[in-house]
Amino acid sequence: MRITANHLIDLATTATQKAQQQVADATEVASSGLSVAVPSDDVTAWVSAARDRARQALSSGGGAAIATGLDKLEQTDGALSSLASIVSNAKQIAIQGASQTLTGVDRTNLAAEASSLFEGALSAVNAQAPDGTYLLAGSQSGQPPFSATGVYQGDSDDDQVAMTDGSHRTVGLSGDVLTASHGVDVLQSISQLGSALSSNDPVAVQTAIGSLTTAITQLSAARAQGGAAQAALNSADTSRKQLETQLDSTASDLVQADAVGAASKLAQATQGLQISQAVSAKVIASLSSNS
Amino acid sequence: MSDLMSLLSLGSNAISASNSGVAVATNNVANANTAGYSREVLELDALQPSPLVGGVKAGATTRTADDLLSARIRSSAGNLASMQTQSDGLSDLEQTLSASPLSDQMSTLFSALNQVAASPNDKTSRDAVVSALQSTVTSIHSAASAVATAQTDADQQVGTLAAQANSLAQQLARANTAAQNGDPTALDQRDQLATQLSKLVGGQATTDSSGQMRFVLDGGAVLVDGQTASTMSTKTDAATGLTDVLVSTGTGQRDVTSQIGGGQLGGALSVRAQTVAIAGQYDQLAFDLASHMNSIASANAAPDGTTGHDIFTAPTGVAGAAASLEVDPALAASSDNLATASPGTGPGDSGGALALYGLSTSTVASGGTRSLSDASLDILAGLGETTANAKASAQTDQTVDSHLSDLRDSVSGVDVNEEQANLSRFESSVTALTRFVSTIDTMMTNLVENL
Repeated sequence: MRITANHLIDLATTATQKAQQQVADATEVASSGLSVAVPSDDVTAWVSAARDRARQALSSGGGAAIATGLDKLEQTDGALSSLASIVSNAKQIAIQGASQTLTGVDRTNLAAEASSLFEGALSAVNAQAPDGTYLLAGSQSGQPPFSATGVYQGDSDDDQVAMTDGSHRTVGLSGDVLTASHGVDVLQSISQLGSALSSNDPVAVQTAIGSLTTAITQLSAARAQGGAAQAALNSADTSRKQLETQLDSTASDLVQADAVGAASKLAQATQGLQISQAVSAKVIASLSSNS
Repeated sequence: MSDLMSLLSLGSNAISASNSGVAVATNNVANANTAGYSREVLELDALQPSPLVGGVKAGATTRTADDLLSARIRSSAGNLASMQTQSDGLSDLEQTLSASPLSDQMSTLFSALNQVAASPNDKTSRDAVVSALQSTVTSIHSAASAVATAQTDADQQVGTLAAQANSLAQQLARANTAAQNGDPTALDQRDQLATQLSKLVGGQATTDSSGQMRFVLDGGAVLVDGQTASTMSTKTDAATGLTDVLVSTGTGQRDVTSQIGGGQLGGALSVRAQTVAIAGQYDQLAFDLASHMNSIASANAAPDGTTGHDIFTAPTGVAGAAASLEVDPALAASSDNLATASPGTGPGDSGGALALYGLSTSTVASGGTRSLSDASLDILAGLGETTANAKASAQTDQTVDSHLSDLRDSVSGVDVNEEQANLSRFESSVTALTRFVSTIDTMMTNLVENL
């Protein structure tokens, strides 16, 4: 093969251009920190990383929803806790009121206490979240769930949020758990106690003790249900965080450049360019001296 | 005496031949850096002794070129130009579309819907959904716009390249005429023009037995036939709005749009076809997104219990769905029109929001085989695959082109050192021959004086 002077110069020029391109590529990787910047760099890696990022964002959004749900469950538990305390007090009053030694005046005084407890209970079950919605109203969250007489006006709808795996978790309890469908009507039990005391009816007071005892058990069950929902949410949140960490790590492994490796490649490319430039200079000098 | 005259004639012819050698070598050196120049070699013809004195004379000046190699160079140039055009055009589009993938925006939207599910009456959360919907629409518009711009650029490039091809075809026909008339520079010029034309429109050039070059496009349409150049023209396709490429024939015009694959024109047509396909994919995605979200939303209820609310303006069809996608005006005006509750429930129900959130994983796109997010990534994966193939092919073609260029240089390139050696050789011959002629002249003078 004949090798012309022009061919030698072309070879030197091409080699230098390639070396420059390698330096440019290595610089881009080192400065951006990405070994896969666009899909065509590595389609599988880029798409997998993009999918992981999307799942991570979705999971992170789920985290905000979980936090909102946990707040709501805690507020609901606070309301139920207050109610449980009130019902316990009501039961104490009922036990006192059931005593055969009490006079009608005594029971009237206790009735006033029971009435006061009823008002407190009503206030507790009509508690509102910071956004103004009623915690125990089910889906009818725009209006107080319990009427002034303690009748439940909400429904059995429980709020839910979605997890990234498509499953749903409960983030609220409806006041339905305080109605007869779950045992006794809690507020009516307090109200009935008040009526029994007012009418000086020890037998009715005795009956109210049974209702209030059931109400306490019912409230414990409701709080346990709320606690289980909280535990489920906390567990889901922990899993979510682990998933996000894993997705972040996987996505990084797929598209991010190893800093040391990138710096090393840049150094190699730079050295290659220097050598190429030196060789080119020698070729040109050699050809010049010949002519 | 007659022998001395023969020797004198021999010397004279030899000096003339050597001078021709000097001229050829000088011309080669002068054109050492002329693009497409093929070095010339002087043939020296030995003269038969008659009976004793022979000699030499300058023969033909031969152009050192390999026609088969030239054909391979043209073919390679067409492939390389096509792949580079595809690589450049698709890389730009890929860069734009992958900078902010639609899948990220969709995650934001579905996260906002999940947040509403947790707190359906929260105004801030509901407004965040509307805001995320607006951002999603903006992202889809941006993607559709980027694809449309790439399509327009490629389409305009088709028109420009066709006009340039016409100019080159006419020059090639003129070079054929010049070559027919014996112009020694016409052959190199013709090779150069044919290579440039291959880079522009692909195709192949062949030389017939009469030495005339014929340039045929992919698909068989003749662009240059000897001294006649056909006209390449363009027209806008009424159905697609895209530019079609036509070549004049003896009886009319032939549509060659679908046949051209090589050269920058083939590359531009390929990029354009890709953008048409990608635009269709974004239209389908926007249509699927709007249809399914509307379907779910209209079946659920807003906080006031009313049903029939849409999320997006109902798409009239798949074509153009991406560019025309808009958030439903009523929803854009008030997030109270977001159907977050199941029908028949109160405002605190999140059944509607959860159903909308379900679209984050439901396989409702690409004919019911992919989720919306995955479908958006599939578009970029397809584009990335095509771009990567174009880049790889361009690199391979570059290597082949470079190798063929080296081979051509080896056959036809001028080596200055070699030509310097030739110059020295011929100069030495002239010097020696001048002395030889001088000696013969002296001998003849002596002979005449002694008569």
